Amino acid sequence: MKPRRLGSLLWFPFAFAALFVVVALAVGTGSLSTVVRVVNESGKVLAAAGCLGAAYAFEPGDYMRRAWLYTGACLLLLLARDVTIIPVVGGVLAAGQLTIVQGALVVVANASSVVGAWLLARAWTVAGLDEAPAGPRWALRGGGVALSLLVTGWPLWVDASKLFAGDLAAIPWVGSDLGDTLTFALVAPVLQTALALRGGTLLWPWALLTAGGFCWILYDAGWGFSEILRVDGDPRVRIAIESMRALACTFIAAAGAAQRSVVLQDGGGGDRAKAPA
Amino acid sequence: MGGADTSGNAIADRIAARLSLYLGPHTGRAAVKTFALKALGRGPETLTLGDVPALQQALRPMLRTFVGRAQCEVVLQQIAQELGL
Repeated sequence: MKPRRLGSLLWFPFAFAALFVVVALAVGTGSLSTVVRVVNESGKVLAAAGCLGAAYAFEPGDYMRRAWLYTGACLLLLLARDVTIIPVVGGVLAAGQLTIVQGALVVVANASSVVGAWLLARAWTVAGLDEAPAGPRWALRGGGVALSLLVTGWPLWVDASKLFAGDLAAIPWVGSDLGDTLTFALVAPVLQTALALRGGTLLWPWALLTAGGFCWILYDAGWGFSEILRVDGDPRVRIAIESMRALACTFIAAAGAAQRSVVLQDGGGGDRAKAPA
Repeated sequence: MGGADTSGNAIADRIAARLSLYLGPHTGRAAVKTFALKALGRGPETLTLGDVPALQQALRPMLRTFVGRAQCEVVLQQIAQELGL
């Protein structure tokens, strides 16, 4: 894909999410769970493929290769957890063992996501470009933490309370909540990098990653607020929330494709570089 | 480019133009300024052809971070070719 066509990747997540909404509305409530499951898993497969495609466009030892690998590993581990939900697979293990395996996969997946997000958030500093005044930078990061806690604070409090009350089954949920809190907070520095790269081909992977991060926040916020408002049983609400997950996964897939395109291109647009007058 | 978008130095502006393909015009110029100061202790307006190898060396970690080692070398080679080095 030519650099100037990277913007066309922006349409892919919207097309994927729109297709999901149309099919979900068409099938009705009877088959909604099946459609959601198919879109959920296919979205994760696309996102994992995008991350791995981006990672392997870099060479071993490259900083961004690690960032993409950790992000992709999170999705692969979540896919592995979802495989254990299949009765034929899950039935191999005793109920207690299955809970432990699923919990471990969720916790490790979230840890991997946090590491990936941390590496992405630090790329600007690692590149040696962090010369901006600290004030605005920390204001944006503080805003990211506040937004993250607004979305994940309540479920984190509820799940941590269960854990402290002795419910060990809450461990994966606490792990997931903590992972979401940290990952969401790290969307702010990724946004900062995307804004700084506007006008360049690297804008696209970073902007699409940011969009994916915001859609994950909206997905989590959607479930949280729908529970508070007691509308989480409404199929239309469920479709709206799940469309955010479809967008999040496919934005990450598109970001990976954009990153791969930029890294493997021949010279950053070649003849577009003009000598200054 | 024109006016405030240039450093007033053709070499610096040409390097910034090449970097801006990836980093955007603002960060492309900022990168030349940052790494000229770090590597040479002088601003981009003072760049000469003799400074370019040192500046390329200073730009290398930044480019490697964002586009990887292979593409980094392609960009640095293009800069050298454009400047006739």
